Amino acid sequence: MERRVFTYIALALLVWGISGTATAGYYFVQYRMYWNEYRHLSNLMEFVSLRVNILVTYGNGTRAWFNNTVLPINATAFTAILAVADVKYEDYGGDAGILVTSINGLAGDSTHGWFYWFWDAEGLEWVYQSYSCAARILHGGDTFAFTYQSFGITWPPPFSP
Amino acid sequence: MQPQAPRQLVLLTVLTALCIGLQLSPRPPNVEFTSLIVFLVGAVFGISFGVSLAFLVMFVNGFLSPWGFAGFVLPFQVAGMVAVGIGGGLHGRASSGSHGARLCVETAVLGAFLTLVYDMVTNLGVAASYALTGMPLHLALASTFISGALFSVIHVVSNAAVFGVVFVPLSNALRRLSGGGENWKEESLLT
Repeated sequence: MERRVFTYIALALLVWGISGTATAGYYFVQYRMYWNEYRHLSNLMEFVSLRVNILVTYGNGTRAWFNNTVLPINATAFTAILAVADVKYEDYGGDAGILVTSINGLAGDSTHGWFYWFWDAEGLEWVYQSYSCAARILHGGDTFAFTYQSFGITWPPPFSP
Repeated sequence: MQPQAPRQLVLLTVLTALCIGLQLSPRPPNVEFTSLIVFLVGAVFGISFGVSLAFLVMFVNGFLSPWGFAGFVLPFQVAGMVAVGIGGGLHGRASSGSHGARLCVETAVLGAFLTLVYDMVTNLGVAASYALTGMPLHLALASTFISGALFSVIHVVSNAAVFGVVFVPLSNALRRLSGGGENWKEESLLT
């Protein structure tokens, strides 16, 4: 191949290299800028939201953790499970409140149902909750579980954190 | 004065007016035809003509540009466009053996390269103006080159396309137009 062709190929590669480097630099700066924006907004969101850990166990050994789930302040255990799963429920109103009847297609029957538990970080144990999950106001860092199990609740619960 | 001189002077004036008109006309950002015309004139009429046109166009454009007075960047814009004129002149000398598609590709590559040179020289001017306000030079250079990268890419790609497609037919037409007495009939306008 003659020298002239090489010259033009070299020129084209030079243009490509410089333009590509400058464009990569541009997008790197954009990336850093938007990443900082994201961090800033995340910090702001900490004041109007909370993060909780949610465990769903299906009674057959299958477990699903939803760690660091972001929820608005004043969220309840019920709105939290609504946020991460396909939930069916019945609203009995008043003190009875809402009862979760099905999570992700697994519905309760005459022998089994959905229960929810809270992790006591001080006592280091799961605590069964006997009232509606809609009445439980969440706090940042809370960990709770919905379990599919027999109505005859036994201690300890059929899972560990 | 040589017999060609008045004709070239008129051509220089007309082409300068054309370039300024194109510079002032609405168009997408960084899509321009001035560098093509300067390159073309350099290739057809020689380096000195291309450099003259480049200097004149960018000098006038520095005052009339819709972006306002170019100020400190003006000499850099002139230098960048002069480089295009010189490149055109050298290309005119070197491309005598080339024709057809190969010439189009060569011109497109050269157009992209000279556009990049122009952008780098003008970015250098902008960075220098930032540095004069107290910004560290390396920071001014980096921010100018990076913030202008996308505009530069548009400029380079559009000029590569324009040079590759338009240069050959336009240079053929310009050579025929300026071919001498057979094309330029020396007779009175009042016939």
